[in-house]
Amino acid sequence: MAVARGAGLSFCGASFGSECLSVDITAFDRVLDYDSESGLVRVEAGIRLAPLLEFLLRHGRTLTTVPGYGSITVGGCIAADVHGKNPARDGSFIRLVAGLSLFHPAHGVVEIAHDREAELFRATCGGFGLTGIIVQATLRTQALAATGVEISVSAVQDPASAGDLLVELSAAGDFAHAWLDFARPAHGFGRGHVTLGRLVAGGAYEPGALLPPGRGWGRVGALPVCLMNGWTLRAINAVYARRNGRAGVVRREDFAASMFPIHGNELYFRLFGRRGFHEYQALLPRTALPHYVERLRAATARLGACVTLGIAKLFDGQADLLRFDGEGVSLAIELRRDRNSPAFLALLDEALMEAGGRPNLIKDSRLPRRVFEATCPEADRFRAIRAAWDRPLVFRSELSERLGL
Amino acid sequence: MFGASAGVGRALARALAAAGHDLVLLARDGADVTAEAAHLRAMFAVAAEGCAVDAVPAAGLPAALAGILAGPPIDVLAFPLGLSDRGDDGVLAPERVAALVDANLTAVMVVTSLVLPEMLARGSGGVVGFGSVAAIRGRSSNVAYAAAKRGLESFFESLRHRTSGTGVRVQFYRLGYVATQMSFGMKLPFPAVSPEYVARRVVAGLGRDRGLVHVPGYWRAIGLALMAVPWRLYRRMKF
Repeated sequence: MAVARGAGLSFCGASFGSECLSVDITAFDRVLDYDSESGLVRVEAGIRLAPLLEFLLRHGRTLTTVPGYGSITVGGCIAADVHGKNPARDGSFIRLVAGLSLFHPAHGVVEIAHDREAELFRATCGGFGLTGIIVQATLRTQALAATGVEISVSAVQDPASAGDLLVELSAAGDFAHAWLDFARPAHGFGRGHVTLGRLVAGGAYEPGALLPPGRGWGRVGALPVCLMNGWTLRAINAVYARRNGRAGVVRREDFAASMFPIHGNELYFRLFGRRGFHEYQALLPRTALPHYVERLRAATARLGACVTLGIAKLFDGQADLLRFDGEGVSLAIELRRDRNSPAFLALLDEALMEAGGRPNLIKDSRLPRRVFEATCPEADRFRAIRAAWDRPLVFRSELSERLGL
Repeated sequence: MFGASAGVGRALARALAAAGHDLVLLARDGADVTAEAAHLRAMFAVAAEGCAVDAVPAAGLPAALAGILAGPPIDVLAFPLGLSDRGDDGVLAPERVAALVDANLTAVMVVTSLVLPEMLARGSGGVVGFGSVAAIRGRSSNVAYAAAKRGLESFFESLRHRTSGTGVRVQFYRLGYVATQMSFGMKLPFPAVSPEYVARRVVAGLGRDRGLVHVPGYWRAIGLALMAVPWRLYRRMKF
């Protein structure tokens, strides 16, 4: 049994498992071909997004879907079908994939695309490496007109109005998300601001700026103790809101900071200490959002959960196989991992099923199979594609075993 | 560049390309150097080509390299190659011993002999060799490998002597532990440096007249200490 491993940035066991050989593909990190006419770039799957974007920027091109951390590999972006700064407009990573080479010991290396082995292709993009090892990929790039970023911010009182505002604004921006403060269940729970970013002329871009910082907290392991608690959290949120949430003013932001906002802010993750944190991301129908948030508030109050981050984004795609896509608002939260978190997350699971939402499998290390079956109606279709292709099941991981894939 | 597909060779190829050098990459794995050459062309806008050449047997090299030698003159010849064998404990099968000596020593001498006349005639050029701290003192593992690498140190010393005053520059790096596939998964008594670090040092040293240089530098002290250990103690050391 084996599974490919890229940067190892997933929040769940997708690149390892018991009795399972992890195949590190990060040495396969090369740009094999770039066609300036078509804008297609052929890369090996182990290339990381930051150096690839550095390369594309020199040619005046970019990728429309870029997640928050530049160390992620292209193979990982495909296998987890990640989304970017404006999923309602740009969809998920599968839209960029013009074709890919997939290795399976029983089939050798096969070329697949939207119109070639379509089922297998759709199961591989967002298939968590369970159909084989993604070896190379051809990606569609887009002309990048400008590297200046103009940010405008609007305050919102609750997640539902954030969702409404995102519906109104998403089409007009290159980046669109809402930051929500879930620190205090009794006071202003879910208040925050909607951030809209536009690429405009006049931004200076320095080569190398997109690469993850070579030093700092990103290079340091977890702190031995957890420093994340109600006090530090409120302080962090206050600083964040003051720095980023000034409504009504249009401010300029650095291009690199907009693309990879986590670069340089890795200290945030270190504050959780060795016990770490959980992330829970749910894609919810907009009508179900207020009730879901109320359930979240009740659970937070009851179990004293330390919810450190809330990010909402608008989605406007179609649910398919295991991919995290559909119509609605995605709400991602992070919380300190402690004694009560299993109970807290179980409450969220119930709220998710009630709301008819969809979980993001790559961000949840413990999602029980029962919840998965109830929220991903196409699990069996995925199993059937995989059973026909990957026989006997060679590619496995902690994720595939837990979810019975 | 001989041995350009992995480890120090790959990092050095990228560092040289970043500095604007055109490259010919040679390695056993043709698919890999072809991909690497494509990457260098795309990433750094240099001319680069990859070519499958096996250093074993070394006697086949003149024929295998004829096409490349007929091409444009070579400014720098770099040999970041190394072949080790985990069964290399003094009782290795003859063909495996021959492979270790061919890849680590004979191939370097053969290729240098092919290129050196042109460099000498031109009065410029450089040869960069890569040895190993395994050559400091013989021990019960890496027997043939260490012997070949010590032979390589002798060859580069001779080469530096031979080219002294000719305009051809020779550099030799005795490498400590480097994080490559050769050391992957091994328990090491000292931390491994990255191939990129080695590559930066080598690029910075290009064109300089250098005898044996340790990378990382603290291996010089370890080497001196190892040499000073008396035999009665050394024979009992297990490492």
